[in-house]
Amino acid sequence: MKIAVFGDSFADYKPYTHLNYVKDCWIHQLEKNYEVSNFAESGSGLMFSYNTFKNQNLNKFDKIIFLVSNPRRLLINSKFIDNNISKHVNPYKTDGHLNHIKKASESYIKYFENDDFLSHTWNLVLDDIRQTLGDRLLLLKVFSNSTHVYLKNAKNNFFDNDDNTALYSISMYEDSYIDKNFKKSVRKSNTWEHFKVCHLTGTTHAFIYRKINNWLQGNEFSLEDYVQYIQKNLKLPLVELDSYVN
Amino acid sequence: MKKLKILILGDSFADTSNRTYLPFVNKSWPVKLQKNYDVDNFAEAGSGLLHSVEMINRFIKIEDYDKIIFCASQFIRQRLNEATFNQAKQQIGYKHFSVTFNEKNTKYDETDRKIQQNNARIKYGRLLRNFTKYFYIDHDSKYLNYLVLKDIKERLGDKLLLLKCFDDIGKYAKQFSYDHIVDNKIALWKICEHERRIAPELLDAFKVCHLVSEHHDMLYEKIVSWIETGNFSLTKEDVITDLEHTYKDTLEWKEFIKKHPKFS
Repeated sequence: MKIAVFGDSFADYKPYTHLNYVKDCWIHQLEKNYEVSNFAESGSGLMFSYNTFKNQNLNKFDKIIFLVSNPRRLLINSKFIDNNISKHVNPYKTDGHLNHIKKASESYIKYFENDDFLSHTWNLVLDDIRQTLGDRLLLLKVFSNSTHVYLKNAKNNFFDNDDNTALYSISMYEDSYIDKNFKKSVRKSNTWEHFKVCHLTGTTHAFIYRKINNWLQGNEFSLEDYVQYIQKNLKLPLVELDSYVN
Repeated sequence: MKKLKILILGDSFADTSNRTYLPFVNKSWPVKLQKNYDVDNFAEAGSGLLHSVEMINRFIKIEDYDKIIFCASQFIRQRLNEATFNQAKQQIGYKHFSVTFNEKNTKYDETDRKIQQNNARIKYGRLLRNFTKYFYIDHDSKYLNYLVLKDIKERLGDKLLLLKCFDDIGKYAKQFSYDHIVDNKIALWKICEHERRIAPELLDAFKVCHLVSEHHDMLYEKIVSWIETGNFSLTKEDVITDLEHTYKDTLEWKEFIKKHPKFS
């Protein structure tokens, strides 16, 4: 089965290849069992993924997994891309970009961006993806609607997961669970962050992979039981963490 | 009998409000339509596609109208957001900004000369130009432009006359051509260009909606025919080609000569 994946850091393990845990990542597991073309790029926004999507021959793929990231993230024009820094800019958030580039994105949002039109085009883009692919598509939201407060009139019915099961919400839940339940040194240093791949622990990757694999076999998709799964199964690589801290 | 209710949306090709000082404004197609129909004209000169789409999404009850004439302007034209515009209305005067993307030499030019009229416009014009310089991705806007026009067409159906003001150009124009969505084969801008070739001295300031009265007559006839029969066609064959022999008889020319006698 041929699978294409579009999205952001929740599907792009390239920045984590130096970690042993990269093999736990859901997309890595997917690659072991299927023929996967992964077009996801860390830090990218919806329009980058949509543009990449529009430029593929989608007939080549049996199933497509599309992770919908932040529509405000911007791609720098090729003429100005510096290979040492990310070509994707998240206005008000991304560090490392030259000041004039960051300032240009922030000024645009402050003075010109129109929330209603952004919501309108977001709806049209997601509707187009859905209409193009039908049931070949698994459309996952990365962020909950509360994260996109500027998407005033964005529709929610395109997705296969909801606000509670948005990938970022799951990552946040993991963080709070680790905070409450793991030993102090780990909590305080926040070093466990360095042992996550694509913002998730190996335990949650196994959960997500199982769910996606289930969907690929023709079954329903749902991430609803992630809380119970994490509570029951979450393990951190504490030995490695200790050596990292020390 | 109750008059049909007509809604007009678009940019300067349908906005007559900034040309009311011209005596022949009454010969323009949007004003002529008012004689026989109940017309609401929300077109704004300099506005982009975003502005017109937002009008039907937020402010206008489209079900109140029998027919809608939508002059689709450029996607790239931007508008200051409400908060910014409301705060600095006095200084800015005019909320729309235009930036043209020149694909060949990757230069970004402000085409809206009004940007240079005051400091506030210069400031915001510069901010927009910087944004397009670093981030404007031509193919993204082509995808979105196409999706927006397709959506308008699907939502408004037979009620809609969708006229393209400009032809799409550039590398991605073919891939995302909207020619099959719009109702005119020749863009309104092309008609204006034709006039400019024939009479370059006859400035836009002496025309209404960039066109001389003879072209307004032609458009008016076609639009009325569409309202009454549902049929519309506007091709390059409709452009008045012998204007070079007749334009000196036009009201626009006479007005122009009054102001600039050296051309007579």
